[in-house]
Amino acid sequence: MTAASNGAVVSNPAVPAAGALLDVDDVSCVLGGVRALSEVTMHIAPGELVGIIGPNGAGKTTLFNVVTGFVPATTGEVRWDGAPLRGGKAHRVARSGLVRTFQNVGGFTGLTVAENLELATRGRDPDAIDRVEALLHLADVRDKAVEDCSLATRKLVGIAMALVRTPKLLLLDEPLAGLDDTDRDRVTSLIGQVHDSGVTVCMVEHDIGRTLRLADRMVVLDAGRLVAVGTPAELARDDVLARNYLSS
Amino acid sequence: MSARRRRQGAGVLAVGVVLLALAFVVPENRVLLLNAFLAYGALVVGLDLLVGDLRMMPAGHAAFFGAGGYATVLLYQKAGLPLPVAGVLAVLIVGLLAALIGLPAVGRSSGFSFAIITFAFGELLIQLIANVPGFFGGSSGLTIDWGVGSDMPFDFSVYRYFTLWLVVVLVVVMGVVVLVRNSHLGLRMKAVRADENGTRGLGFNPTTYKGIAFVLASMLAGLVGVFWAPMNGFISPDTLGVNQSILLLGMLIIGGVGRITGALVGVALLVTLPALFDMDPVLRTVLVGGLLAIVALLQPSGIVGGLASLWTRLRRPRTPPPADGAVDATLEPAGAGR
Repeated sequence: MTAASNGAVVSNPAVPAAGALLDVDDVSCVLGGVRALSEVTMHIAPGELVGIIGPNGAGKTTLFNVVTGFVPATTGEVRWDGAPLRGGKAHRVARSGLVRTFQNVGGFTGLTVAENLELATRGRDPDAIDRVEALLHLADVRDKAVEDCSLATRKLVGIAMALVRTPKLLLLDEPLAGLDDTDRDRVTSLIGQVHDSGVTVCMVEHDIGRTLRLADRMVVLDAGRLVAVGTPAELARDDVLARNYLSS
Repeated sequence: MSARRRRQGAGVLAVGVVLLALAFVVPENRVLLLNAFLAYGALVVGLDLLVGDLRMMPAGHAAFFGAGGYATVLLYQKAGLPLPVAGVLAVLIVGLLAALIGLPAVGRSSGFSFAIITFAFGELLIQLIANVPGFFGGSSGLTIDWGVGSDMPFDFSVYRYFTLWLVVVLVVVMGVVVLVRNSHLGLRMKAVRADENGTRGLGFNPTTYKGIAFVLASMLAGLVGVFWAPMNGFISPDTLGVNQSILLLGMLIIGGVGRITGALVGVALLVTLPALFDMDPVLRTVLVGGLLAIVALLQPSGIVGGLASLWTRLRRPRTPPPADGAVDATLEPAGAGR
């Protein structure tokens, strides 16, 4: 563990570069004159479940946007599966297996759950739809329009749409936001099952408790800066981190 | 999806059969009016691929209709090509023009920019035609003498002969729209309409699908022009103007976007009815403006959209009110109180 510039404690963020699926090296991002990310470095290894936490405005979603090509990094480099993602367009990044969900509820309105899943597979893999429907218990609502589904179901539709594309890395942006406790437990358990099935997962979340329980490693951001990286146990042992970031 | 496609395909064929029968029985003094309904119908149904399926509002759709007509006349009269060959080439030329305009335009389809670029294209074409009179006939237009008229099948007049062709054009346009809407392309277009960034996140480039729809809708408009110019024996720059384009949009919005029946009802209301009742042009303008305002204020999904909503409401079974103290769980908002 090393001290960060803001005085908090940071464990070594480096994972052996050869094994990393995603490398974020010294990435900064300025949006409309505001420094949304400042020299952030983090890595995700295959098979990990990484949780990213931090207060509103910490830069969590901006980090996702940079990594997935929705927003260009101002400085620094993102390497995906060993190759740099310079100016990668979002749709090309998504096709390469780096798949994300969005903060807003999942699925496209005007389409049924089944149509959304068919869209996500590009109509090429009906077996994947059956597998994912079974995994996320969506078979009963397959013919329902997504706008008629509950919020929890729509969140699961978003995750299912990402899963049917057999991602190498699944980025989940606030998958528990807006859900009640029962649905949070249900979605958390299903994310755990997805991870157990071999998918590498990185999730941005405000629900600290559930993220700590799920994650192999945690990344803490604040005001666009990396504050800490470490296992949930490592972070919990640090009083400053625990007081400032780990209490919901 | 395939059942819906079969049902809609059968609907298109049924409409085609009815219109074909109408082509034989409509009085001679109403043939031109039927032709106008068919041509405008095909134009508006094709336009709906942009407006209804992608929420793109082109302000120059009529330019592609006119371009199809001009290209046919020029290829037939100046290049000496047979009319069918001229027609096919004209549609391809319109597709090429649309691709050239479409590439920069659809990437900026945040409403205003797209409308301005397509409007500018229409006006540019009009200026080109007006200022090169030797080739394009100038502002007075071009006449076409296609050398047929006395030996029509079924002893039809030239106009009634073209009614048959325009029925075919309308059925083709409706068929293309049904096919697209029930295909994976249609699914992607609906997704682009709902959330462009969401489609990027799935690996689709929204610009590609907007571009495909723009070129396709423009080629369908060009196809109508291919038959309209020889039917009239004449084409002028008025055909391409922004007034025509706005009228097409008006018909679609009033009738109801996203539905073939909506497009056809809009055409019937704004083209057929005023002509049937010999409506004064000023009154017709008031009708268009008034209906647009009423629909925009009261029923943004158009007349057919409104009727469809009403039908859905009427068909929904009425649920008895819950007994005292009972709470209908389905009325609880997601996550409420937990």
